[in-house]
Amino acid sequence: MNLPVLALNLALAIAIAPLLDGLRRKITARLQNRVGPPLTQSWHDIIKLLRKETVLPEGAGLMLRVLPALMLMLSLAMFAMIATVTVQSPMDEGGIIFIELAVLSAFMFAIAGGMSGNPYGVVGGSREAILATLVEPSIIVSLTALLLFKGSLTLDDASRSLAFGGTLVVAAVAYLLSLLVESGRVPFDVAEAESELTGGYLIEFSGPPLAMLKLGQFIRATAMYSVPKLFLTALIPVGVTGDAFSIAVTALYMVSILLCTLLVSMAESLNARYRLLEASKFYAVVLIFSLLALVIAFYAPGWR
Amino acid sequence: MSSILKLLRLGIRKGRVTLRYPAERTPTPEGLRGRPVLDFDKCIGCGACAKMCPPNALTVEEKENVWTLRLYYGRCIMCGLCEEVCPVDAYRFSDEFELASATRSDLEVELKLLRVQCKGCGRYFTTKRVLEDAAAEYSELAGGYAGEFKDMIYLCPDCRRVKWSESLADAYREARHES
Amino acid sequence: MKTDKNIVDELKNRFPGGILKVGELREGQLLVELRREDLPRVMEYAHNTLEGQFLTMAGADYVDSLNRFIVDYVLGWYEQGAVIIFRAVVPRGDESFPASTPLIPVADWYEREVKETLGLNPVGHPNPRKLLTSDDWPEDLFPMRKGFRNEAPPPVKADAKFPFIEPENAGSFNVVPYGPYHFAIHEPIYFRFHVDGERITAADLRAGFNYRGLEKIAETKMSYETIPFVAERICGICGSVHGEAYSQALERAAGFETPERARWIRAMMLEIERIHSHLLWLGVATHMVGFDSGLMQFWRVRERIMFLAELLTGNRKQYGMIVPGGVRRDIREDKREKALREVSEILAEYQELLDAALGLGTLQTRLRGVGYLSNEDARRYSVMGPVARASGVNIDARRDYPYEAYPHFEFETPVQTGGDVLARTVVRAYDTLESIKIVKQALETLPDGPVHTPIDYIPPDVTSVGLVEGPRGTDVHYLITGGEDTVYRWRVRAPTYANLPVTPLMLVGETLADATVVIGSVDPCISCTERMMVVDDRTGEERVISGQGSLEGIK
Repeated sequence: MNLPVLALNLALAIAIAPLLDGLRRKITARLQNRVGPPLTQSWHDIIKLLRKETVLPEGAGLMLRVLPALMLMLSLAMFAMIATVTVQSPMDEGGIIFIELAVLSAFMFAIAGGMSGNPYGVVGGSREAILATLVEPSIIVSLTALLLFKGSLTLDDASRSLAFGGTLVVAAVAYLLSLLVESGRVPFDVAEAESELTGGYLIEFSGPPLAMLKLGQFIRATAMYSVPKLFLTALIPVGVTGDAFSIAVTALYMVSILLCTLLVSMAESLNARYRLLEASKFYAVVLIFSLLALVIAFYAPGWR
Repeated sequence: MSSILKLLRLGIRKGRVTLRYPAERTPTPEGLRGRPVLDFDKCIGCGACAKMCPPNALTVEEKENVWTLRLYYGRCIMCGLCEEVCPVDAYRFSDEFELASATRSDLEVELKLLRVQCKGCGRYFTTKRVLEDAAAEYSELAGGYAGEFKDMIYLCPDCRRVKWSESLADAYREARHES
Repeated sequence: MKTDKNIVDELKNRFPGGILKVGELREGQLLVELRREDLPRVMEYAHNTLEGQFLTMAGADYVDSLNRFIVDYVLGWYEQGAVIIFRAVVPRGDESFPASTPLIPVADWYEREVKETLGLNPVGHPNPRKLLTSDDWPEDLFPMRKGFRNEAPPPVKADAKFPFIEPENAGSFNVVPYGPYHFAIHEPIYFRFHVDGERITAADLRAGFNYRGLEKIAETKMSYETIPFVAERICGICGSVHGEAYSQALERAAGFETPERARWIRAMMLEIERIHSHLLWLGVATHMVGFDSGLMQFWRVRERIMFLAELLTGNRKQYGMIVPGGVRRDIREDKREKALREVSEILAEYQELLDAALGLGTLQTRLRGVGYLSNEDARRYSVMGPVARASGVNIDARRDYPYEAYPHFEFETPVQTGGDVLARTVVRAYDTLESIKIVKQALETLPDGPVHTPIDYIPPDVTSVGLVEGPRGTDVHYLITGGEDTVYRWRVRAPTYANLPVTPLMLVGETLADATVVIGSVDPCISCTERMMVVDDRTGEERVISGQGSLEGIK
């Protein structure tokens, strides 16, 4: 376990995640002819929430206080598995654990909704559960396809490998689509639908638990945005090594998170929200795409 | 898909429509119905505006020798009926519309005028300014009756009625006596 | 307004002896007097067989001259441009009348309102619950009776609950409260859904949170000249419509003819209001389905209309323009030219936006097939405005009951047959286009002349009805003139009052996700629907009547 890198990753995650959300809000605003909130707005929101009291409804369990902390920890744990601006990740344990953490944290939302004791929360939670069941497999499958292609189940090796090929492209597209879908923003914010469900699974959280939940959401999103770096390393020309390589990797990381933020903002501002049924159909299509990538990775690994 | 592109184009082409308030302010057209401003010097205290005001933002209180007009902007709907009905054009619409305040007294305007006592019964019946305004305006019209006019004007309507009937009765008796 | 005497003849044939008297009101409106026992059958015949639209119903307390109550049912025939008021007398001491609701369900809310505000009991009404007054308002206190004075707070009933309709298998997690506070609906109203998973199986509705008592205030504290300002504030977005309907009804009662220039300006203001209201709705509807960019873009264009309104009237809403006798402000030549330029630009921008926004795939998927209202139901419940026109019912008061300058303008009334939310969206979108064209015509052909002449004399005790096509449908003001410079009875029936009762019908079978957009597609203006608050005579304090227990039922 590489402690300095771990510390770096965690600090980066906590610092950058709300800023990326702020960037998303800014881009969306600009596309809507508005000025938009300042980039640090999401930070201000979290800090404000930390200072407020928590009001829990009757029928809600103690879990409502514990769950957000759990969520935050799971999201931070994801940053222990991947490399951000360094080539080395803190824990070289592999991509599988990263994926599992992502899936687990997604289901946390469903549980949170179910425990809120409010019919809107329950509906939001159940929607999230249905959708997570459909979209997490896409993530799992597209990432597995990627790892198979790169020839290693360890994210570090995968990032060092400069191989390029058809599978990479298909898997990349599948992953990006899955990312859009599970980002929980319009058109896919079925579970949190503000104007329909007044907040869905988030409805009964307030004060510090809400702050932790939101921060956990942002960090998780940032972790998911960090993955395309693995695809992008294929762009580094062979022969670049040492410091130049590190710089290239850092730059690619920045590109990765900014690109994903841009994609999510644009999807958000140019679409209406999907209903559960249509969303499920879309997700099914993305899943098929991911499976396609996996099949190609298995049977035609040499496809360049 | 083409709709998405069109929307994207709209978003980019139209630029920023938000004004950086308070540095940039919304342009207000001429004739904006902003805060109605009362000119204290012009007001004669007739009370017509208070009678018309639909939400009772304008209220009149008459207590002994003081006539008080209160205008509470919190209730004002900027309809302009006060401006319409005022006989001396004491109201004027300004273009101020940013009237929010944390203290109620910021939005209250009070005007006090002196009232006149009736020379007959001693009751206070109108404001000094209304009388002086009427005196100035109608004294020319009074012509030959200037003397009676001066007496009548300082009487309240009831006393005036009595005095007028008496002078009519006197004139009648005189005429009968002469014939 | 022309009227078709054939309707009355048919009624006389069908009910010999039932029609007691036929009187002519102003401008061809007719007053048919009946015995109260005959009301349900005559109503059913007139509404179902003769296909009249149920416009409004009012009760009044004739305590001065005749010392009895009357109930007036107002029906309209759009194709003939006819308005017929069916009046029955309810004697004091025996304050009930047979309810027409079992035969014509559209009379539901109206009869409930008469029951709770005047105490006239509609016998046989299947749903005699409170409509507008709060749950703890005493059952035996009737605000609209002449004897009721707003002097002291009434004794409230503690632990009052509203009896909601519960279906058989109600559990605690399949009852979803929608409102009175909800991000999506912009005014307080309470829907209660019973859901099965995501599907709504039953819906109940409680209105009355915005009841302000404006009709009572108009009768007791206002004068003919100040009522339009109250009328304008019944609603934030359709204010002019109410001012116009009131002025129209009053001018009709007085036999007064508005000066020509005023008629043009009035029509122009009404259309400007329609444009801004529809743009607001388009923005809100797209926001409800998650398409926030739609909200921003439509409201960006709307800002230009608001500026136009401000240029012409001095205010962005609540124009304060339409009063009995004409309009209050003239339009100077340079402003007229500036307005013309603005309108052309607005037309171009709006068309560009409509093209981009309505074609969006995700938006259409959300709006299509949702909230279906059949043509039969639309007719049966006398639904008005875009909701009716989206279900194939072609009614438009501008064309059928021509008023102000509309006969001089060329415009079309868009009609769709889809009956779903998408159809309503399309109807409103094209309504806006037509309105912009009307405003252009009005500005171009504005005639000269005075804009206001005072009404010399308003005879007392004249009944008249004013009809105006507002953005949400036909707004009907029923008026009985009074003797003391104010109205004797003023009954406002906003179009949402006619459309809202139909909402539970449209909601059953939809998913919870679509509940918002279905309710929104009716374009409810809750403030228009309810109108009561109490003012303390002595201190001038305002108090909204409610009690701690009134929202207990929402658990």
